Amino acid sequence: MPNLIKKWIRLKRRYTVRGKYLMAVGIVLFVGFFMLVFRGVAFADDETYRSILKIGGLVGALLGIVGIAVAGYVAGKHYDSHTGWERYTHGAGMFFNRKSFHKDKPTYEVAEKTRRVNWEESIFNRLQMMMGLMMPPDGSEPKWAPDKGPEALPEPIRTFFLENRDKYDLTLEAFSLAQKQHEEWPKYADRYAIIDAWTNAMGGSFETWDGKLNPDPLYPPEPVGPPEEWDFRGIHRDKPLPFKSTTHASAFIKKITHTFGATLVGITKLNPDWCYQGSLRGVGKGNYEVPSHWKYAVVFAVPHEWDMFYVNPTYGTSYDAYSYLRVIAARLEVFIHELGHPARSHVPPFLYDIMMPPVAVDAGLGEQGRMGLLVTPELGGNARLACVTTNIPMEVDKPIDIGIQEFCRKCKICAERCPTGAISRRKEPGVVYGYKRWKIRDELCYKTWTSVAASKVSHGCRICLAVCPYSRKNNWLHTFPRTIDPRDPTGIVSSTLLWMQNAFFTYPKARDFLPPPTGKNATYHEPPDWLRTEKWFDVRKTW
Amino acid sequence: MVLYSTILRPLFWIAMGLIYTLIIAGARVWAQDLGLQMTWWKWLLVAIWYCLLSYSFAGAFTLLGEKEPLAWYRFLGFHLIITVLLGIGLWLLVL
Repeated sequence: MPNLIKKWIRLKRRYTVRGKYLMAVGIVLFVGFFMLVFRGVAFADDETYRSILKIGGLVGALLGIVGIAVAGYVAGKHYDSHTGWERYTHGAGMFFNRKSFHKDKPTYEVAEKTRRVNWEESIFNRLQMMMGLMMPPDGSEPKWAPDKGPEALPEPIRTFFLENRDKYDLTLEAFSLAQKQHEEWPKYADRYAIIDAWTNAMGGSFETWDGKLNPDPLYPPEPVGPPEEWDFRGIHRDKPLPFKSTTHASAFIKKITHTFGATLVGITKLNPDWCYQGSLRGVGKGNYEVPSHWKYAVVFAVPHEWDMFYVNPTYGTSYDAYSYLRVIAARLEVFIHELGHPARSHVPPFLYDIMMPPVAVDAGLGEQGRMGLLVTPELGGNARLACVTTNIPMEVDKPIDIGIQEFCRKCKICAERCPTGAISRRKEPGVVYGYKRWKIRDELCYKTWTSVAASKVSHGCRICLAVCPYSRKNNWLHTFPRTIDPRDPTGIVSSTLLWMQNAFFTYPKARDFLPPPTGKNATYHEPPDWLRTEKWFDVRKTW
Repeated sequence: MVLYSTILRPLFWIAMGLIYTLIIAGARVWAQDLGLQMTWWKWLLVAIWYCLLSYSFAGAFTLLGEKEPLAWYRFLGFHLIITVLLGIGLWLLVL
C-alpha cells in the first residue's frame, strides 16, 4: 500500500491535477462498467440485472451516438487535422502511401515536340519587369508608363506583348484595378487589419512594409554571378562527404528537409524543359544552357494555414507558405553546401529559374489539376512549392497517378467559382509547350488578384485552391474518401463524392468573391475568431 | 481542446469501448425478452445499421466542427432518411 501511495504522489507530480482526477474517474468507470456487464451476463437469470442491462443498453446506444458525434465534432475542429500545421513533425504530414500509385511516366502526356519555357511566358516575370520599369527600386525616374504602349517596353516582353496584345490589355486593366483596390483600402483597413498584419509579418522575409522586394540581404540570398560560382559558394570541403548509397542520400535529404519544416518532399531528375529560357538569376537576360550541376531537384511543399485558407480571398494570404518555403530552402541550401555539394534555392514569391508544378509532378508529390497547380493526396491544392537544385547523386521518386486528371475532368468546381473565368471548363486539357495539360489564362487570373480587397500591399485570390474538393483537412471524413478514390478503377467513388460535394456544400457565386458593387467580398467559409478584428480590437464594426 | 489532451483522448475511447460493451450486453437481453430469433447474420446487419447511424452523426458533426454551415445538416438529413428506411426494413426482417 505505501508503494501505491508513493506512485500516486509521483503521478501527481508528473501530470496536472485535472489529468490525475480524470484518470481516477476513468479507472472507476472502467471497473464499474465491467463489473456491471460481466455480473449481468453471468447472472442473466436475475431480473434486476436484466433490467439494468436493458436500460443500460438503451442509454449506452444513445451515449454511443452522442460520443461519436462529439468525436466527429472534435475531428472537424481540431488542429490535428491541419496537415502541415498540426503537432507532428519529421514528415508525419506525408502520410499517403504512394507506392501503389508509382508510374514510370508522369500523368501529363507529351503531345508534340516539347520546348523550354521562355522566361517572359511567366506572368510573374513580366510583372516583375514592368514594375521595375514603372517604379525603379533605386527611386529614379520611371522608365516606362502604360501610356507609352508595349512598343516602348524593353525586350523580351516587348515582342511578347506585341504578339499577345490581349494579354497586354488585360495587364493594364489589372494595373488599374490594383490602383482602385489601393485607393479603396482605407474602407477595409479595420475589417482586414489582422490578416493584413499577418500577411506582412509573413512577407517580412522578402518584402518591405510597402510591398517592395526587401533591399536588405534576403534569406535565402538572391544569386549574384554565374551559377558555376554562386551555387558552389560556402563549400569548404575538399570533396563531398560520401553517402553510403544513392538510397541513403535520398532518404537522408528528405528527412532533413522535413525537419526543416517541409510537409511534403520529393526528389527528381531535373527535366530541362522546366527551366526558363531567356534569363538566369544572378546573370540576367540571355539564352543559357541549364547548368550541368542542376541534375536533381529536391522539391518540397507546405500548406497555407488552414483556417485562413478557407476564407480566401480577403482573409487569406500566400505569404505564410512563401515565408516557410523560403526558410526551408535557405536552410537546405546551406546544409547541402556543408556536405560539399552545390545547391541553389528556387523560392517564392517569384525568384525561380524553374517552373515548379511540373517538377513536383515529376517528383511524385501529386498531379497537376485543372487550375494548373499541384494537387496532392495529403494537401489537395493547398500545397505551395519551392525547390533546391543540386548534383548529389540520389535515388529519385517516381511520379504518381492518383486519378486527379480524371477527377478534374468531372469536377470543374474551381472553374465554376473563378470570378474572372480564368480556368478552362473544357473536358480535355490543351497542349502547352508540347505537353498535354490544363493551363489557366494568367492575365484573367491576375485580374481577380488585383480586384479583391485582400491587403494593402499584397494581391491574391486562391479561391480555386480553397474550393477544390481535394483541399480538405486531414480528418476521417475527408481522408477516407481521398484514400479510397485513387484505388477505385470504376470512378464510382469520385462520382458519388462529387455528387455529395455539389448537393451538400454551398459555395458563394463566382462574382460574389469580388468587392462591391460587382460582388460581396464573399469568402468560402466564415472567418475564424482569430482573424476578426472586431473580436480583439476596439474598432467600430461597419461591415 | 480538452478531448484531444494527452490524457483525455485515450480515456474517451476507453469510455466509448465500455459503452459499446454495454450496448452489446443490453442488446442480447433485449433480443431474448422480445423473443427474437437472432442469427449471426442478423446480428451483423444490426451492427452495420448501428455503424451507419453512428456514421451519419459523426460525419455531420465533423462538418459542423469544420464550420460548414449548411453541409452538416444536409449530410445528417440525407443519411438519416436512408438509415431510418433501412432500420424499418431491418426491424421487419428480424421480427
